[in-house]
Amino acid sequence: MAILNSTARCRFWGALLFALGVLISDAQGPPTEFEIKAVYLVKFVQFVDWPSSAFAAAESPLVIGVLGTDRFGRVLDDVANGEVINGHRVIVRRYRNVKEIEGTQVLFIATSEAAHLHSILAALKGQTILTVSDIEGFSYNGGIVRFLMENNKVHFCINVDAAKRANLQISSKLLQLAEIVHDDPGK
Amino acid sequence: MNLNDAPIRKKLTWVIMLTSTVVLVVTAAAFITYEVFAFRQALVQNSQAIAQITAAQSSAAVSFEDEKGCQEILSKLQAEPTILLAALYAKDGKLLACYPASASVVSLPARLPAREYAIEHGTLNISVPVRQDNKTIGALYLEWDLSPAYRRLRWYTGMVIAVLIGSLGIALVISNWLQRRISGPILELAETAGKVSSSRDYSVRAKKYGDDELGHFTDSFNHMLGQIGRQDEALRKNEEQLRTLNTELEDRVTHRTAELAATNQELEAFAYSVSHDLRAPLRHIDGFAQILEEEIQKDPQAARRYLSRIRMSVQNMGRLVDDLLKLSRVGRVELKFETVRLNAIVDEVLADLKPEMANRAIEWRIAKLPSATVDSGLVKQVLTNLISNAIKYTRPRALSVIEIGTEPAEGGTAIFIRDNGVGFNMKYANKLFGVFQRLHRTEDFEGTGVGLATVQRIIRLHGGKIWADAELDKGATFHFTLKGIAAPV
Repeated sequence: MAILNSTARCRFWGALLFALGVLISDAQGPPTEFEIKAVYLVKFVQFVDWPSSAFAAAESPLVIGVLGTDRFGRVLDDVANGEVINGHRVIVRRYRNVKEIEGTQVLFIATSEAAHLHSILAALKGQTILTVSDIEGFSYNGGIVRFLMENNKVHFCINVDAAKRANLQISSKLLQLAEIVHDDPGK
Repeated sequence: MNLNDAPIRKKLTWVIMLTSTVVLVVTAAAFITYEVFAFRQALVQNSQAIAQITAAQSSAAVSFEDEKGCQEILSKLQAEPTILLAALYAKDGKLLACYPASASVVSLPARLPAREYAIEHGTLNISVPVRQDNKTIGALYLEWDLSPAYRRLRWYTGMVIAVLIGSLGIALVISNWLQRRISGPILELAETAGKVSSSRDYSVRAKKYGDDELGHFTDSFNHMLGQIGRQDEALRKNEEQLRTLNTELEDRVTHRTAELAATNQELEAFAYSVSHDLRAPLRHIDGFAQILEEEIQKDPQAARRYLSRIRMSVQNMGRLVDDLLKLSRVGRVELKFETVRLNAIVDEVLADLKPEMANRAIEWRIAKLPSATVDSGLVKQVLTNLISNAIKYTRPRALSVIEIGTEPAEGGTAIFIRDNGVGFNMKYANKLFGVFQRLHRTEDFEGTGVGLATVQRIIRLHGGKIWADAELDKGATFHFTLKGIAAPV
């Protein structure tokens, strides 16, 4: 089979590795669960379309909010730093109360908020916010994306009904990878 | 093969076939070349499109490094059976999935080509980046099997070659037919020309096939043949005339030479005979004159006898000289031709010869003779000679029978005079017409020996012939022809 030009091949792989190195510059050893989740969270944004009404202005930043106890730490800020999606700079905000939430496009609800999940989701009702959480049963209870760890790998479930309600367009490419769920008809 | 020496039919076929072949081959080559390039371009574009679609589809899977998702996307490539190998790589070069799933995983990264695509060893290798939001997040590598494509190209080329060979076959048939239209008349013309030159038959004509240059050429050729034929005939006629003339001339020369020789011989014999025959009477005269001189006183009676002897000799000599004069006159006097009846001349002759027939019993058998355009004086001389000879040489017979008649002879009618006289030995027939040639003693039959020579000369002057046949003691027949004798009566 083809033995390709080795210098050209090295250059290609070198470029790839360099790009990766910029993304996770301070990563040492195997990435932790929240490092992965942080990367995923930011990547998710790329496969979701918000209606233009979701932004105050065309140049408004795309806000990733974290509600509850932040277990990402600086990792999320590092990952989001410099990311521009559809002309929107990605920034991270942290909230303690659901009432503080405004102009946010993505909301990560930490496990600490599991107890009053229902009230949070009810408060967010009608807003074009992609809700993400690793709370068990999240997507069955009206949340949109739920992260779950399996064999040290992150998987996700997407409630397409909830996404529709939130007026969000999730890329089919993303849906292909996800476990699709619908609203629990029993509730 | 030297093209110049090749038959014109082959040349024409070659010209047509060479032109057709070049045109067809160039066209076919252009078609195949175009097809190869177009096909290759279409193949690459198509492959790149599939690669790009697949890469776009797999962006999420690559982004999340979802190996299962990647595998799923790649497995859809089985719809395209010419794809041998496909692989998805994450940004860090990690292999996410490959197709078919059983492919050797280890070997894959080494296959990734640096260029957009490469065609090597029967495969088309394509690598495209997997992008999301204008960012390269991975890579897709595809390997296509080109053998079906090559097979199609080979089939296409084979078909083109088959069409080419078929077209050439048709071209050969058509060229064969077409060249015959041109070469046929030329060959026929050449054949006609060859026939004419070998057989010298100028009546042959080439067939004209059309009103083109060849047709005009054929016309000119035929016209030329006609001219040559006429000239040839005229030439041949001239030649024949010349030959006839020549032969005639030769004949005449031979004839003249023979005549001259005969005349010469005759002249020699004549000179000898004249001197000899004239000598005899002179000797007599001298002898008797001498005796006369001695005896004139002694015996006047005897002297008178001698004198009469001398006179006889002188008369004899005078006759000789007269005959010679006649003979020589025959050669000198111009002939005066007139048409006369031969019977009239015979009658005249018989009247003249009356004195010689005194005391003779002669039975004349004279047939009706034809008319003749001759010199009547000379012919009378001939008849006088021959008839008087017949009278003379039948003298010993109690009854002389003399027959005059005609008979067919070579070149017309001959007159003959037959007698039942003493005849002569045929041994001496050739001497008969010589001057002073006598077959009998003068004591038995008088004569000078000039008569028949004169006769022969006259006959010859009239373009005739004279000959004789005889048997000793049984008679003789003289035959002669004259050119002026009319057709037999």
